[in-house]
Amino acid sequence: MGKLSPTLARTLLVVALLALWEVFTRLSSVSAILIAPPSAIIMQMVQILVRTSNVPDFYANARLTIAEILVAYGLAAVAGVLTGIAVASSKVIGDAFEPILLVLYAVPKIILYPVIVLMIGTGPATKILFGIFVGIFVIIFNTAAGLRQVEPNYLRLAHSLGYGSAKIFFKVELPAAAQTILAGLRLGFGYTIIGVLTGELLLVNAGLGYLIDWASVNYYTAQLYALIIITLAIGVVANYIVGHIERRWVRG
Amino acid sequence: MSLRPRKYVPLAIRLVVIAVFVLIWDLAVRLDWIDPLFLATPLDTIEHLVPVTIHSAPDLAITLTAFVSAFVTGVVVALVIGLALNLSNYGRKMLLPLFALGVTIPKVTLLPLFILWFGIAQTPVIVFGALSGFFPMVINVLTAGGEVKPNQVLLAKAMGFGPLRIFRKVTLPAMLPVLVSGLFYACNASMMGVFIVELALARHGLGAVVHDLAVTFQTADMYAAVLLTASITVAINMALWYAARYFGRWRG
Amino acid sequence: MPIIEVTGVSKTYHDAASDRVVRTLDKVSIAAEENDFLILLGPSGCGKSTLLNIVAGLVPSDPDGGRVLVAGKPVTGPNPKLMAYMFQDPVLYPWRTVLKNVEFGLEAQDVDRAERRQRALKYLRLVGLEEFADAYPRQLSGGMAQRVALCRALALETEIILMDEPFAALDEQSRILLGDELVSIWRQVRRTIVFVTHSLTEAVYLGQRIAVFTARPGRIKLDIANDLPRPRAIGTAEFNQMVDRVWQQLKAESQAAAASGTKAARDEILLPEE
Repeated sequence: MGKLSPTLARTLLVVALLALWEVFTRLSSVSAILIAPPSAIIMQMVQILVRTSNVPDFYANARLTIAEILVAYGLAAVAGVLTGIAVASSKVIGDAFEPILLVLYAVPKIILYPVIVLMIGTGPATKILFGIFVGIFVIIFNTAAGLRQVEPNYLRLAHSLGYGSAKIFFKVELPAAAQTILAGLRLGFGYTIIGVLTGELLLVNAGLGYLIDWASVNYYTAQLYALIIITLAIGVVANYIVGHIERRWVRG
Repeated sequence: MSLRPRKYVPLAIRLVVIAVFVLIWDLAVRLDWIDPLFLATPLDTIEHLVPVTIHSAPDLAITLTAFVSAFVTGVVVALVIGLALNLSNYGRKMLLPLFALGVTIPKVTLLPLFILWFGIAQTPVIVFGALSGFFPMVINVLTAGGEVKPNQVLLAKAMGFGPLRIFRKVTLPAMLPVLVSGLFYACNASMMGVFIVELALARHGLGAVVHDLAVTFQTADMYAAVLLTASITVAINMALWYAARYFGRWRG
Repeated sequence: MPIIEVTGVSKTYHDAASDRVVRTLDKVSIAAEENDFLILLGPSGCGKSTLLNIVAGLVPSDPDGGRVLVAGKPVTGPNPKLMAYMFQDPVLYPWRTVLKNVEFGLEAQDVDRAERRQRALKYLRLVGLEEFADAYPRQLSGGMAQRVALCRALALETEIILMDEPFAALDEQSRILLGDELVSIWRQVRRTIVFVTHSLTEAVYLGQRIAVFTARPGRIKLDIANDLPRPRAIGTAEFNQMVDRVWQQLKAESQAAAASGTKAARDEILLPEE
């Protein structure tokens, strides 16, 4: 009895859905403003990428968005890991700050967005700061949790071999906690992308968010779908790369 | 009575940190580090809290209604799909990666599509909120399914329990902690979703109130509204957080 | 009339990994009298656990004329009013307290709350775990958890208790202690126990009758009465004699199992591990 592998079945499902979508848009009377057929969207994506589309300055805007994401993530990663190390460094500090972090974590970050806009304007800094806000907490929590879960015997052993506390931290604690910390860094990356793109979609003055809004208000439906898919694809590919790096590090 | 430094020192540190934060916030306005047009003092904010709450009561009701509808819809759909998929290991393997993708992709880029399809009334708010809550919940339902061990079910069968009672006495309790923590993530995501659309459309609800107050520079009112929203959301989220801890207490 | 009567029972199943039909039991016949302490002893993969599961009604036997009668009636499914079952691992529900775990089987039979509690406490007292009634399973050691599982089986107060290598996962000391407790309980309450093990010492130490299985496909090769006086002591001359007698039979089978290269514990595929 030959069974389909789940991966193959999944691919077939996606292909079938696309085909259904194509047929549906061709046959139904739903306005072409609302949905575009996948074939038209794919054409449009190609045109955007080879700059024959009417989408203005695609590469400049995409570069801006990607730069915002990278800057936001870099800052969130460094600040998040350092804060996590600080929180895990002593029980007193951990007990003192953890409830504050938990409350901040429980705030849907989006309500802080208007505050950021009001205080620092509508430039890239706002999107970067918001991206950091959305992404940093899971990095902090995972770093702290990973460091706390380190087997106490590891530390005792290193101590008995005469290692000082700085050496123990870099040679024992950090490697032992690496898996959890890296998982936090991966999740944090996804959240940072969400944060930055939320900022773009709400500000709509530059970047891919601006282009998506441009297509939307001008009713360029195929362009709209194409730009959304490109943006999502950037997110998916970026997440995949970070996940891949994580897996390699954990194994090594 | 003996002093318990372990217990009180973190509390003291926490209070000092919060006090310093409020102080800096206050000085930032008083000493003109930040233009009072963009930042209100803590005292002003508190003073405006009650009038803003009264004034925005109808919007609060709209937001809460939208949130509850979105959250409940997302969670119920996730439960139905997730529990059905849990019956088949194959279906789970096939669809889990797609749902995981649904969590990580920046769904906010779909916002213009939702507005295109559902207009600018309450529908896109609820649909987007429901979709945001759906993905984290369905992932947790599928994960929770893995918490039920085959032997636990076999034992109940040997004891003579029927399928319905096995679900109630074995499957459900085993899944409960993961399900409730799924509610926490779904709630947070739903709130984000609802608030993003409210901010973007700026017609009804707390998001619209905050947006309008921000663009008209009614700064103290806006900070009060943000504080109000934050308090409500934090209260709901923290309740779910502790519920998840309560139902998972047997895990130790 | 024997209380358990197995006549000509076979079991074959399709092994998905190798895509072959595997025969784990081949026309097995065995009977247990009331108050028996019957040991099913055999190498890994000989189908002794499968036989136990068939008697318990958890697994159907092949429909080829074999018969399983318990208390004179054919087995069609689990019958917890007649038979209690104990697994190799304790399978305690981690969200239930010790007391609630012991009560679990009684809930299926809609025994009322007060009676449930009373019976559960009685057996917890019997194994010395009364003060852990309100503890959660995670707070117990392996031996304690298996004692709770024993209580859960005993609390059903069935005629028959079926035990599938119940002490196999424990350390040597807990194993002997629990075995002693089981024997003393068995002598107090007079139940019929069918006990699966691959440990020779355990078989001789506990059993009243020992049935030795052949390597796959499982058949019963030897069925001997073990009338060593109780309390028994490991290492005495007559104990060693009995061990030797069984070992002579078992040795050939273990070697055959090793030589045929059957994957160890294949029969336990029917009882998935955690």
